[in-house]
Amino acid sequence: MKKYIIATTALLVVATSAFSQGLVYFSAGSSVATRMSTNSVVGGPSTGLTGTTPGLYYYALFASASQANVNGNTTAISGLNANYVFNNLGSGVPSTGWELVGIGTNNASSGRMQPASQGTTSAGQSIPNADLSLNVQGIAGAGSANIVAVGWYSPGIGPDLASLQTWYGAGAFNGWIGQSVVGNVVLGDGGTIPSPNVFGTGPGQLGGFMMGLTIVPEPTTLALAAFGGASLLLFRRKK
Amino acid sequence: MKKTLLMAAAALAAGIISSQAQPVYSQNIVGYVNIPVAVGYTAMDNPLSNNGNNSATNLFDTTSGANDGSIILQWAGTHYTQVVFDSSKATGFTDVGSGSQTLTPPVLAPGTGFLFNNQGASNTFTFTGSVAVDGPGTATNVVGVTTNILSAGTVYVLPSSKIAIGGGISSVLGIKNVGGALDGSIVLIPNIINGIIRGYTQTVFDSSKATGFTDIGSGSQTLAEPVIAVGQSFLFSNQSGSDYQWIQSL
Repeated sequence: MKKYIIATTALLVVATSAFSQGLVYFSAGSSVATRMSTNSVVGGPSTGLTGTTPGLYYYALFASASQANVNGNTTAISGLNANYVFNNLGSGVPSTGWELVGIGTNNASSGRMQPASQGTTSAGQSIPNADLSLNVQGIAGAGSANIVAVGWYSPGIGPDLASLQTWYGAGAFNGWIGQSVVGNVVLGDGGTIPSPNVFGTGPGQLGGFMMGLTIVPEPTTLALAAFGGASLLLFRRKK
Repeated sequence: MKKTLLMAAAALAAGIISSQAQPVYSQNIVGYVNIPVAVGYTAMDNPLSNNGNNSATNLFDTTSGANDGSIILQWAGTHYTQVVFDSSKATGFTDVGSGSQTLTPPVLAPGTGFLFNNQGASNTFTFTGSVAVDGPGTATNVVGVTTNILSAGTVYVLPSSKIAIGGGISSVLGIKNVGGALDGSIVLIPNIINGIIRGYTQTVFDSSKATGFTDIGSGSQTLAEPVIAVGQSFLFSNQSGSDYQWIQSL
């Protein structure tokens, strides 16, 4: 009987945490400190804000109730790096790892972004809530959530998390990618606890971050490619 | 929360002019109030009427960019609505969800509380204007009265004192529990730690207690009267079954 009660209690706890959800906003750029930028050379400094053509940059937000760092790192990173959250998800659920919250994209204002979808898997995305807030599955409103965001330049990569993981796993050539600091917010409950924006300058909020250029093929590689192309053209003309 | 109330000018001709057919009262008590606004959330209100035009545009800097990213949160009956300062928008405000919309500035009249999420440096806001008066006084040495209706139609309302004063919620601000009518009603003051709201301190009206207040957990403790500072707002749950007329005299 005692075991039965313990098991039932444990199930109830799991069920409660599985169905609990808090709320966050996922938009950046109203203040200068939260705007997104890129660089121009591998490892170089920021050279400007993201552009004004919507849908070129995508952002993924992750949350965890248990992880206060990503592979031991809490600072912003860019370019090639071992500490991207999508390569260090752990169990993939907030209680013991990092979980996807939703996807955002840049809008027509330089350096800014807004949410596009929400869901805990790359394929299982749906529209944000009516007020454009996102549900953080597995962490209740008024609960504390660690947060981190990843951004990337989508041409040549794709707009979803799965395509980002595929591109990065294949060598991450010719792209821009970056990750925010790891922050912490108290999730909104849709009532008396207001929903926070994950981006801001307040305690625990994320600042804007830089997406850094990854690997560019070396000049000799480019020269070889050019030589090969020219040879093909010559060969075609002779025929 | 330390507040400074500095009434700069004198009350001018505040009495009723008896020669007129209808009573006439003056609202010429003008001045300013300084309210400290730390980084993160502050539960506050606009303590003075800005010549009757209490649009946030008239109360805050919306053009220089100094407040960009900061948020005004108003209570909508069941949840907060949020507008974000954004000097790049024609109105000075955008939405928190996308940051792309241009929103109408909120109106922040005395007596209606709001949360301010300060995304800049710790600051002090100065509000200028007249002490809000809704009607003439009804007793000797009373300049005027204000009425703030605390609705019973929603679980919570977010009021503040219409008059720029601070002190005990009953003894000074005038929410009186006459005959125990407000027994069970709750005052909720946000616990703001490092700028973040970490729940609320809840105090329940209870006319059977010596202080008039008890705890929400057991209803057995005798708690001190909640104290509300000048320019501070609070959530209130009216459990009386009907709207409460919060009348204050000046």
